[in-house]
Amino acid sequence: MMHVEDLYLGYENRMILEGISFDLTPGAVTTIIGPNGSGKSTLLKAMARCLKPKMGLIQYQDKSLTQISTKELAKSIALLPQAPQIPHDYTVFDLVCQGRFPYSNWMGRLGAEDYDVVNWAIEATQLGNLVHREVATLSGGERQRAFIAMSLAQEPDLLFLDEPTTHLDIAHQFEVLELVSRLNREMNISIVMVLHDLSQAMKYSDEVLVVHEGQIYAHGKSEEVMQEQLCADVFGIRVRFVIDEISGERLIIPLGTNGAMPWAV
Amino acid sequence: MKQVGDRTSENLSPLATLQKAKAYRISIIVAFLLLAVLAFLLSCAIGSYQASISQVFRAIFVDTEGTARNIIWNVRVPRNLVGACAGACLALSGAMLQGMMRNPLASPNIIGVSSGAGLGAMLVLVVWPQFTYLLTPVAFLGGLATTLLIYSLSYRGGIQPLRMVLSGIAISSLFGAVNNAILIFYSDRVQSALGFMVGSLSAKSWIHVRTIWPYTLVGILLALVSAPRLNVLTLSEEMAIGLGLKVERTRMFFIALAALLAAASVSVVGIMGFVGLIVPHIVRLLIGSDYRYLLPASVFLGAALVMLCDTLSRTVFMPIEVPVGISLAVLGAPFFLYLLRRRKLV
Repeated sequence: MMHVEDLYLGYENRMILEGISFDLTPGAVTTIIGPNGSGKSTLLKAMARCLKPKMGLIQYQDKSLTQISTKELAKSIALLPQAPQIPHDYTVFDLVCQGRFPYSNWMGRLGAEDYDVVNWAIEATQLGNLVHREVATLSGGERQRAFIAMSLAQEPDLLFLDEPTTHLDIAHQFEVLELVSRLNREMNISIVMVLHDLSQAMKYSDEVLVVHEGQIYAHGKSEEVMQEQLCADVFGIRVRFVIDEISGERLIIPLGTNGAMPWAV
Repeated sequence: MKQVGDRTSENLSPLATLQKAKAYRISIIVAFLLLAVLAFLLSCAIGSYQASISQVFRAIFVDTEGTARNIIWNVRVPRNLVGACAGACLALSGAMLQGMMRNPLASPNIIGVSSGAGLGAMLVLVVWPQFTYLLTPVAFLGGLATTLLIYSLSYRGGIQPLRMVLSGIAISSLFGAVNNAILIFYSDRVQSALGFMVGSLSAKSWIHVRTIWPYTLVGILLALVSAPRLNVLTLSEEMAIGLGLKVERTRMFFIALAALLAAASVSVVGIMGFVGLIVPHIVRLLIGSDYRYLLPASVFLGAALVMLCDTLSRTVFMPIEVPVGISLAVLGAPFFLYLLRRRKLV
C-alpha cells in the first residue's frame, strides 16, 4: 500500500524526522502516536503529499508519490487536516460536493453519478437531516462528520486524519472514532490517523506507529507495542495495563509522570 | 446583546435557505445584468444633452449622422463601454483575489497593480510630460511589473497568501511615498495627474474601448471556466492539495489573471480601487461564496455600478463633472457599511 523509505522531513533548517522507513499494512487502522512536536502531523502531511520530503522515498502502490498526478492521487487518498477551513456559508452539501473535484472535468461540472456518490457519502455519515445546514452552525462532532463525508466522496482507499478528535467533547470523540472504524470495516478503507489519547489509540487501531526523537520508535500491533516501558521511554509517564473483566479489553491506566520532573510525586 | 443575536439569526436562516436555491442565485445574476443594461441606456440618455430611450436606440442602430448620433454614439456609448469594462475587470479581479487569498481585504491594490500603475502614470504625466501619449502602456506595464515584484518578494518555496498581502501593502506604501514625493517636487504640474489618481471616464472614446475590451472578454471567459478551481482554493491549503488541486500553479494563474484584468482597467481609466473591493462583497452577501455564481454576478454588478456612478458624476453638479472614482466611493462606502451592519461578512 504505502511504503516509506529513508525519509527525512523538516521545515526550513530544522529536521523533524530523520531517515525513517516503514510499510503501511493494507486494510488496517494505523494510529501515529508520540509526544508533542515529535513529528506525527509532519509525517501525515508528507504521506498526503502536503509536505515535500527533504530526502527519501514515499511510494503508493509501488509508485513514487511524485510520479502520480495529484488529481489521480486524490481519487484514492483523502486527507482530513487538523483545522480545515471553508467559507462560512457552505452547507454540508456544498462541502461534500467539493470531494468530487478530482472526478470533475476541466469545467468542474459534476454529473448525476457524482451526485449519487455525494448522497451516499452523506448517508454513510448520517448527515441526511443536516444536508442543507451551514457547516459553521453544526456541533463539533457533526462538523467533523461533514468533513469525513467530503473525504468519502473522493472514494478513497486510504484516509488520513490529523487529530480528528481534538476540541471535541468525549461523546463526539467516540462518535467520530466509531465512524472511522466503521468506514474501515465496512468499506475497506485503510486509515492512518494521529491521536493524542493513548487509550483511544489502543481501542480503535490495529497498528500503532510510535514517533519519538526523529525516529520510528516502534511500529506494530497495538497490543504488542503498547507496553509500560515504551510509555515511560517515549511519553515519560508511568502506566499500568489491565484487562477489564467485563469487556475483556486491555486498558491503559496512566499513573503520573515518571519522576523526571522535580515536582513529581 | 442576546436579543440582537437572536434577531440576526432569525433574519439569517430563511435567507440562508434561500441562498441555496440555484434559481435564486441565477435570478440575482440576471438582475445585475438587467441593471447593467439599464444603467447603460440611462447613461446614454441623460446629460447636458437629454435624449429619450427611443432616441438612444435610434442614435445607436439607425442614425448615421446628426447631433444625437454624434453625442450618443461618439461620446456616451464609448464612455459607458469603457466604464463597464473597467468595472467588470476590477470587480472580477477583486473577487478572484479575495477567494484565492482567503482574505476579505484583498483587492487589486493588494497585488500592487494600482500603486504600480499609479507610479508609472505619475512618471509619464508629471515628470516626463513629453511622453504622455505612452500613459496607457506605461501604466499597464507598471501594474504588472509591480505584481511580479510582490510575487517574487513573497515567494519562498511557494506563495503564502498572507505573506503576499503584507508584501503588497509594504510595496504599495513605498510607491505611495514616491508618488507623494513627485507631487511635492512637481506641484505645478499635478493637475494633469489628478484625474488618473482618482479614476475618471472623462473623454474616453472608441480608442479606449478598443484597448480594454479584449482583456475584459478573455479575462471573463478564463475566470468563468476556472471558477470551480477557485472554489477549491477557498478551502484551506491542505484540503485543496488533498482534493488534487495543483495549488501553487493555480494560485499563480489567478494572480496573473487578476493582475492582467486590473492593469487593463487601471491603465485606461486610472485608479478606481473601490470597485474591486466592494463589489465582490456585495455579491457575496447576496448569493454566497460559490464562485461559479459570484464571478459572473460581480462582472455585471461591477459594470452597472461604474456606469450608474458615472451618470451621477456627470449630472449632479452639471456642468462640473466629478471623477467617477469619487462618486463610487461616496455612494459605495455607505451602502457597503449598511450591508455590513445587516449581515455577517466573512
